[in-house]
Amino acid sequence: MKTFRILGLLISYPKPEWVSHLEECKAMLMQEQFLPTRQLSGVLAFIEELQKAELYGVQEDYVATFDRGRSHSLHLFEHIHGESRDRGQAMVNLLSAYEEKGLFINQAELPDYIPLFLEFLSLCPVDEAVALLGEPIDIMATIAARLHERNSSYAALFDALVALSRVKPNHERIKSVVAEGPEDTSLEALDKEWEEAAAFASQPGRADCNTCAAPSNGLNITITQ
Amino acid sequence: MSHFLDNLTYFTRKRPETFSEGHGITTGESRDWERAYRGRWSHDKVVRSTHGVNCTGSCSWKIYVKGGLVTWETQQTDYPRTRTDLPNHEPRGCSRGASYSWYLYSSARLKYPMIRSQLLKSWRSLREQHTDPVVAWQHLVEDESVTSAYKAARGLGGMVRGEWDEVNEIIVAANVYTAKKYGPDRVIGFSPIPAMSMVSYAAGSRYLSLIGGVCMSFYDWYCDLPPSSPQVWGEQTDVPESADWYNSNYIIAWGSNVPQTRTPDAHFFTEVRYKGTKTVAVTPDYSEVAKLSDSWVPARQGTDAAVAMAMGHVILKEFYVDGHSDYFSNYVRQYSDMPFLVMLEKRDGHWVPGRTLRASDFPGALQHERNPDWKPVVFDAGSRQVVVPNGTIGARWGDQGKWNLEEKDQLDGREIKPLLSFLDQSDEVLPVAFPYFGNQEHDQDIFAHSDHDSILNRKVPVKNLELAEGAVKAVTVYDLMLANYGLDRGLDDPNVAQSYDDDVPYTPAWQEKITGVKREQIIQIAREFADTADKTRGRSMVILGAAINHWYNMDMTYRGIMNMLIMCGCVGQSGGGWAHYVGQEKLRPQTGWLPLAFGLDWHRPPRQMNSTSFFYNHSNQWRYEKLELDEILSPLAERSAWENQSLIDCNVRAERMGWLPSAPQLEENPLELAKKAKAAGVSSADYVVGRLKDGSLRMSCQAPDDPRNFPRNLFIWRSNLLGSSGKGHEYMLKHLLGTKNGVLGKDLGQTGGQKPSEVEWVEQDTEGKLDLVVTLDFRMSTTCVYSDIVLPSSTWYEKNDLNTSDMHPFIHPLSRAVDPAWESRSDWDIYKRLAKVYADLCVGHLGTETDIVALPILHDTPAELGQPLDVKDWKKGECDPIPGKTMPSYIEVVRDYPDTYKKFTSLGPLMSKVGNGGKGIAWNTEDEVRLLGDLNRRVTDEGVSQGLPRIESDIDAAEVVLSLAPETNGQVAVKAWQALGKITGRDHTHLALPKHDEKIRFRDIQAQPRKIISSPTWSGLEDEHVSYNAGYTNVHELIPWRTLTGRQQFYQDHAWMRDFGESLCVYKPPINTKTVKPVIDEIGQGGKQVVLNWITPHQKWGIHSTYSENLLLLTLSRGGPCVWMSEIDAAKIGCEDNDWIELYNTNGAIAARAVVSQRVPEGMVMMYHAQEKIINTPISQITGHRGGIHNSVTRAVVKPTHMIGGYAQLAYGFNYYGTVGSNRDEFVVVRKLEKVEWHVTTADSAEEAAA
Repeated sequence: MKTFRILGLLISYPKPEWVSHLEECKAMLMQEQFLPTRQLSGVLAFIEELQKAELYGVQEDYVATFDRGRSHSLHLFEHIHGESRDRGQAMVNLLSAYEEKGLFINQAELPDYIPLFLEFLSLCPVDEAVALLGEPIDIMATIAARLHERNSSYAALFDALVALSRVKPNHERIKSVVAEGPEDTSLEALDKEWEEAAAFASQPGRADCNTCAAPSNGLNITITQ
Repeated sequence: MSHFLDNLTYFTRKRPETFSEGHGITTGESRDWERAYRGRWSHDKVVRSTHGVNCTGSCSWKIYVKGGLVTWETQQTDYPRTRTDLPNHEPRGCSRGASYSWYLYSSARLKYPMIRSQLLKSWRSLREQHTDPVVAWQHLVEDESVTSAYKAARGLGGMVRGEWDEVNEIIVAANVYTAKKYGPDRVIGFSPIPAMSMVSYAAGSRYLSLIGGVCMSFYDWYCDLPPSSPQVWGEQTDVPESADWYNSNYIIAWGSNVPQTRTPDAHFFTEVRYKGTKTVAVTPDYSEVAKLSDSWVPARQGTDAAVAMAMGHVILKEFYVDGHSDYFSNYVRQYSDMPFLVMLEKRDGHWVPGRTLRASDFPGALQHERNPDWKPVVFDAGSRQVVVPNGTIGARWGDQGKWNLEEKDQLDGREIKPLLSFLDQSDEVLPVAFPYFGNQEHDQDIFAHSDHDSILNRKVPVKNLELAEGAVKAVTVYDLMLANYGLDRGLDDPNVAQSYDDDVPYTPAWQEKITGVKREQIIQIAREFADTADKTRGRSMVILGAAINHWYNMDMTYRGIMNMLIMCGCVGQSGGGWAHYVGQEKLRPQTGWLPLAFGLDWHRPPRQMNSTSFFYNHSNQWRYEKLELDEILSPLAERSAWENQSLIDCNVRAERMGWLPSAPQLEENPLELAKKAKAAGVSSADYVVGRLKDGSLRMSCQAPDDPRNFPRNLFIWRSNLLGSSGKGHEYMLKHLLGTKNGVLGKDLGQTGGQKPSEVEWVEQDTEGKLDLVVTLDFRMSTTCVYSDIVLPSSTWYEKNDLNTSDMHPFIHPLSRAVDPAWESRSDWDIYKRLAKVYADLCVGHLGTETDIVALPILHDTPAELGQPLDVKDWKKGECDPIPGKTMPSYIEVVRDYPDTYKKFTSLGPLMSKVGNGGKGIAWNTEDEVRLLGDLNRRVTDEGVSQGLPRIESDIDAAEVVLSLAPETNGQVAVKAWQALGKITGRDHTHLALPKHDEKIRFRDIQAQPRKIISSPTWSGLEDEHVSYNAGYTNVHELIPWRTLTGRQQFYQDHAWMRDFGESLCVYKPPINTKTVKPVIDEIGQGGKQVVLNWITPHQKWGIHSTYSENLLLLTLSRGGPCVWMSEIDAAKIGCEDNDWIELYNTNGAIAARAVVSQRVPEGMVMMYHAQEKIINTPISQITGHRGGIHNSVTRAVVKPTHMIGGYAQLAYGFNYYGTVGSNRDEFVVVRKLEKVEWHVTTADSAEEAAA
């Protein structure tokens, strides 16, 4: 489905090269009608806003939103593995999944970059694509939630991704992750955020070795913790 | 039938079930499941690299690569072995270094070139109007509405991605325009610690040097340089490798937190204890090293000199006065200036020690024709005559073959025995006056003072000698030393100590009140230290660190410790001596690297500037100066000579007299000055000197608020200048950057303080002097956030480079395991590209230009014999202005700007024509140039570089370093030792001959780190029998120290040293920075506050001094800025652990968490160095801006004795001598932060950041 590719494009850095093709994107989205109506209109509204805005302002906003910091990182494994060494192997696994489909990365990008991943999905059969999208759906939903808190128009794009997945995100979990954001500046919340958890007390599942899973058949981009 | 033939002889059908005596068991099930693990640990290749960080570790790491991605890394364990009796180096590395690796792909990584959008918008619109980028930049930068807008936005976000070609064009257009309009010396570059990635450093410095830009020093600015090392030894810093700790029998770790900041080396510190070595820690807090050591001496911070003086007192008493050690007295006679003669001067009714006596003082100059002014003398016990011994600095630069430490009369080679003391053969005994500073009252009670007089008169045996111009009273340094330490020589002196319990400077009893250390502990440790050294011939060691060097009066602490070591014959002995490990400045293949780094193969000299003086002057920190000379002058100084002088005046005088460098240099463009000189028909030097003399031309330092003197373009690479090492952070934000800042104090104009007499005072000072700030980094550091253009550079697994350390003897590679991620490029590629763009864009603006480079009087050159006896200022008519002698040299350098790229990418002709060398030794280098041509191939393109060795890639550049350096090319090492042998008259080649044919190449060190070859650039040896130890060749090869006497100097006789009371080591308390009083009441509003001493040690949860924002380290620490304080002080302000607190003084304010800990003593507050402003930093309620960093409450305060030049070892060298950025004398007011606000809007701004 080209819808995946268009969403990926819209999530990438706004460059004149593709911003000039927004009409085509709109037309294709409407033609495919792959997105549910509500999300489709959200994405179309995003496009229209983009068309009207001054590009420098959009770029500044994009850089501020996505180019630094972890909370809206567009690299999936940043959210799963962070700075753990497992990230390297996870990327290698993803790379080989692409290669099995005869797809080879041609740009200086990492395999877990969301726009790249979405382009990959656009080249998969629809059912498979939707299933694969389900794997990291908690991440997409988390980013969406954080973008909503920030009143970022990019939230519409992630809402769309969540809507496309058959697997529904774990809302409880996402709520708790988002609640940890820096927006809550009460002293209690900050204390809580900074509190050092007991090493072995209550959450054995959080031990690091849990993520050392062997490659499975999927893409391994599910949040496993 | 028997079953005999059915029984098998060799086989059994039964699978063995157990083996290894039952410990192993055999099973037969499928092992397919293992495939997953095998896949998990498989890889395409393993590459050796290291972390090019400033921690001095240089630890070897294996980088595993799979599918073009780094998948994991492990510590490498294949270091060459040490020796049979020594533990090995491996494995090296620490958990913090290991946490570094994921910067590569983390969200902190810089992925694209970034540029401030306001700047980009203006640029693009101007670029459409002007086809010439240089003209476009001119229009941009001359439009104040444009520049003030983007300058004010620095640190406030608003970055967009840029294209490489476009940002390169902007940068170069700015550089070309700046050179054309103001002069190339207005393009400045800052990068620290070349040793951590020397090719990357060289990339930027080569670019800058070729275009005439300025490279800035770091070691002095970081205050990691101990100026006492050049003062005492004539050497920047030379220290033992950590393996040598294992050779020691007594180790004092003094202000050096070995297990925390020297983690990969600490094993030697613990291992040596197994053979009985005692370890002692001297730290004010209960630090990691205090926990690790056998004894802890909890000396109050800032008072370490008093501890060292008292220990020195004990050592002198027990081993020189009451007792005796043959080893010690022979050592100090041959290897120190103790036997040299000093003249007494009568001043205000006191006999005061003056300068050392020189050959030229005596009739007929003692028959010395060459450099008699530079030949200090001793009294020979045998002939009872004054003689010039071998090895003085006068012999270094005139008498070939006499510069050595043989105890001989230089004139006729007769054996001599210099007399240490006139005690037994004095003509008279006189009371000699010594300055005492320990009675100075400090604003803060924590620094106690004693009530002794400012002038201490003590009896000294004197010899009356006839000089050419009358009689003089002469004393030996030895006798002065003993008197200064307060020792009783049996001269009936009531002013010296009869026992350790007398409260007389500098006894163990005297120091108790000042340092808080019990006298018994001082006596015990000093005695053990010296006794061990006596019995082991010098195997006592002091590991000393930044904690005691970052004070205004650091020289006294350091010299106090060095004195102990020299008295005990420890320097230059295995397992002995000083071990100062701060700021990794052990660029082992230094002489191979210098030509590459500073373009010496094309132009000489390069422009180099000492950063402390630069920032003090050009970020206007001097305008807020509160320290007056009166407070730091010796009570014995002639005060009238210093009237109306301030610290900045001293610095201007130092620049004028050729002591310190200048940048920017002159208020007119040097390219224009050269043209005017030509038009006037005189040489550039004559023209400049004439105009300086008639006053029609000023040095830039005299008018830092004049726009003609602004530094205009600043490059920062491999550094977090603004986030970590910018003393006076808020002043830099205000005056250099012109953006929001937290300066709370008033300048001299507003306070009515004393204005400088040498510097033009402008009421309205300047903000935002810099037109363009460009930073190269691989992460969005605090510095990047404040920059106009940020270029993404390669990480340490994405480039080829070299790395060396003083901690181990190996040279180590950084290797390109994977291609640079995203759009990042290596520093080498970035600057190489800039050179190309420069060569193209300069056409029409800059062609073949004559530049005039000002060069100060340099150490290790014949010019260091510049100003021998007195200080004379040509500006005041005290002498003639003679370039290179009484003022800087002004040297013409012809730059063909369109050839910049061709020059950058080839090894220039000067290497064959002039040769190479370092530290006063020169050799021919034609063979190496030929080798490099064969190795790197030669340039075939027509033009200036045709036929020269190519330097295209970073590996080519590395090969240049390795081929030219004696440390990595045995042939060069032999040549270098031969060259030195000519000067010393001794054969040293045996030190390198066994390695004559050894040539270390880049691929060799990728295969395994290689031990370097012994070279005369350094004073230790790399061989199979001894560990590297500083001063080893001085002691064992009799190579003089590069000082006035050629010996280790207890006595500093320069006039400024005497005027500031530092000719001999004394105790000086911390200075009063006076930054609390002007703001405490107004801001405090009567609330609960406490005033605490500001201490900024290196982190536990950061990678040395730089990297603290990675997720693992943030998780392990408090996750944001935090400050350690004592329980007592916390209670005073009603603060508990983890509460938010605010700290402030006139320099600025900080918001952080409190870590309340028993570790910290009362009166002190510690903020770990370089916690990034971009991480979880709330708004300061005082400034209204984001919280501040540890340098927000500091300001550089310069020290006049560090400005001395033109005087033997006290002559300038880049990163060798000069003013230093001390910062620990500072006090802050601490209170609870009542309101915690974040103002989070955008993620990449320092002002509105925190993600």
